[in-house]
Amino acid sequence: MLNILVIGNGQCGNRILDSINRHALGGGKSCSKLARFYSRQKFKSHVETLALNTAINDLKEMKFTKARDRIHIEQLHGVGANRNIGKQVFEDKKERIMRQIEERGNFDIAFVITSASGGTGSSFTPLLVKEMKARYNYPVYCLVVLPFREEGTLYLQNTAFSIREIRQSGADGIILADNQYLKNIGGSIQEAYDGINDMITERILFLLDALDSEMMMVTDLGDFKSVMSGGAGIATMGFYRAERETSIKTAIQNTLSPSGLLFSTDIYEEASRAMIIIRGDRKYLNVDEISGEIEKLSGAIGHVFKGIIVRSGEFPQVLSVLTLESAREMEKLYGVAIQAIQQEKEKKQRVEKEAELDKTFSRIEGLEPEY
Amino acid sequence: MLLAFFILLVSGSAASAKTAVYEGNIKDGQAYQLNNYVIEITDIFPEANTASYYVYEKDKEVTDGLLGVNKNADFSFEEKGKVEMRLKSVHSGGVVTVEITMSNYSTGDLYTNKLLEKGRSEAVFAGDPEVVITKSTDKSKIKLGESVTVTVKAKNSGNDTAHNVSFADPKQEHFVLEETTYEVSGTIPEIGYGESVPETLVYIYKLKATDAGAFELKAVNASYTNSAGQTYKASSNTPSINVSEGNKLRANVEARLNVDSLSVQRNEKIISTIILKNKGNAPAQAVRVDILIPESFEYVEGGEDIETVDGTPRVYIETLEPNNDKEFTYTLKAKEVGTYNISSELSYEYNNGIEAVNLKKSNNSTALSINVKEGKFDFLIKNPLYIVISTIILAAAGVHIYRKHKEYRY
Ligand SMILES: Nc1nc2c(ncn2[C@@H]2O[C@H](COP(=O)(O)OP(=O)(O)OP(=O)(O)O)[C@@H](O)[C@H]2O)c(=O)[nH]1
Ligand SMILES: [Mg+2]
Repeated sequence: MLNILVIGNGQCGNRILDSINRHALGGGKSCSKLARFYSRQKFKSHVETLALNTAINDLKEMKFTKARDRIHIEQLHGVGANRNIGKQVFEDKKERIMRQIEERGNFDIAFVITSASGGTGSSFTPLLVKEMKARYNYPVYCLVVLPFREEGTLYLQNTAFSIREIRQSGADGIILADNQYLKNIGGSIQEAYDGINDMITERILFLLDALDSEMMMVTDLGDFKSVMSGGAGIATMGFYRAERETSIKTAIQNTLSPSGLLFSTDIYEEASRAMIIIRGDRKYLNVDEISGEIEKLSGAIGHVFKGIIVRSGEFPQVLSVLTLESAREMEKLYGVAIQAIQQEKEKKQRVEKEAELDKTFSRIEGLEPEY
Repeated sequence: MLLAFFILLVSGSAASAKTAVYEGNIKDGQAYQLNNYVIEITDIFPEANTASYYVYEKDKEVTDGLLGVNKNADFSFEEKGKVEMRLKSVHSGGVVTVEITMSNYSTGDLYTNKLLEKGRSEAVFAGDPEVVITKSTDKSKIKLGESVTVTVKAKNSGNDTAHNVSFADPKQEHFVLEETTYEVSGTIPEIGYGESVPETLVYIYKLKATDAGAFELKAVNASYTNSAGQTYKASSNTPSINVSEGNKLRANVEARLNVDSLSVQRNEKIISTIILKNKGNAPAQAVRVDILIPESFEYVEGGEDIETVDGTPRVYIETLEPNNDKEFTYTLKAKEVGTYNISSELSYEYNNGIEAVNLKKSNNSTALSINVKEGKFDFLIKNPLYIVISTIILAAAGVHIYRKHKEYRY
């Protein structure tokens, strides 16, 4: 049995973590709040979850994560999307935060979930990973949520810096999920978030389950590490869960299709390593179809790790983990971010100018107009 | 005799490779033995430098003659061999020095090669004893469960006494040893040979068939030595026996549960019976029935043949003869409303008349479903225990919910 640590930083990280705990209670998306009274999280592995935030309201909003797993990092005025403040807070409260991890024992693998664009999560995550890598020798993977592009220059700027910092922090890999790419899901913004969170949750839970399952063709934690260490240190996940009788071929194709992925990429162009985990009833697991599809992928990108989990009575489900050697979408985002940074700079200069204006105004302080 | 000597002398010269077997003194009256041949030296005349010799094969004289110093005599030995004697010197006091050599024979094969100090009477001769063992049965066709008498006899049809004869009769599958009538004790020191020697009885025993089929009884093996101490082995024949499926006996006990009514009121007495019947053709032994009553039923009373073990009524009878049945009556009381099953666990033993050990059987009866309804006056005597229990359940649920609530409250 694996020991797994999942940390959610900031509001986005907290929410996804809560979604994971909710799904693990059983009942999936529609799991009622009451479930926590009669059920318990059904992880295959020993999973510890930990939510970190400076905003107590975000922590209060969580429903399915135990109170002792929600850690409030006090900061008088919040972080307010300012990563510099966030970093300062982390440094001040570092020992307290690290003690929370230490107390939860030793792990085989850790995941840190955060948005790239907010203040708290995006600034805590790189520093936290760096600290964890210095203290422990288990791999730490970050699941990073990219913002909607229209959320403004500040968020884009934060994204650009935080992703760079997470890469430099020693994280063993970054799994991207892009709100912008996934946004067509819901109506209201809250529904959109919930939908995206469910998608991410489904993939993470499937992965955790797979890493601790008996497989027909083995992929294990070691293979996952190999896949994640490939490419440019950036990865994403694809998933498909058939709701009815579906051929395994279709299921594999869907996991690799745009509708299955969490981030916009042409995998045949950009992927560097891949892992495909197939699960379902034996009757769907047609070896020829599986080999055929996997060969197609490995023909384009090289070695593909594959795992097959037999679960009687289940329709086919396929998870793909893909590391990318290039990400055109990321380059585009950085392009926009650079513009955003430029804009912010100009804005600041304007504010400074306004400040000068204030000085000018202040010169008439105490004076009364003379008529 | 002299002529014979000369003939020997002449024929003895043409020999192949010779091997010396003895060079030394032989006294008057002593002899030299080579396997079954004995050379005896007598009439030693130092003055004439001569001595007489006699050669015997076992007790039968083969040749004799007078030998002068430095003269040879020979005789043929077993199939192709030849023994040559040479008188080397004659001493006063009845002693000669001889040299005995052999040709056409590998001296390593000699099992006896020695000076007989006390003369020929001391000689021990070896032949080939051949112990023929016969295993016979009184019947070759029996039914399962019947017995067959096995007799094992041995006879020595060789030409030497068999010494230290030991027999081994392997255990016989598909049969059990029922009785041993006779068995030789230990090893037989000697079995003589020759027509006049009667057969030796080795075993008489009875085997009882436990399986049907055609079987070959295993061979009795013997090992023994000849007079020279050489080891021999022999095996008997393997008679076959056809065992046909006879009639195995069996007990077949059935337990039948009955109640006076399948629909009763709470706290009403239920008169129940259990009937045991042996439908087989062998007596059932140690018949035991546990009557499995639901927890909400109470065993009120029953006949003295029913004892309760941990609240479970149990019937025990030593033997139930074929075609016999026995009925036991007892009373139950239902304490709670609902539908309940009563069943029984039966076990017994019987002997199938073939195997030595009893066979054990057990089975569970089909369940009797009893519907217990609210009693007429139940509402008056509603058990306050229920209230306590439901309160405890509610309280436990409350504590659980509070704990969970606290666990998740932030
Ligand atoms: N997918 C998804 N994205 C979210 C969710 N909540 C917030 N986001 C995204 O996360 C980014 C904002 O980051 P947050 O995580 O809210 O910020 P934070 O880490 O709490 O930092 P501060 O609130 O600035 O202290 C935006 O790009 C949002 O679109 C969520 O529930 N799901
Ligand atoms: Mg926030």
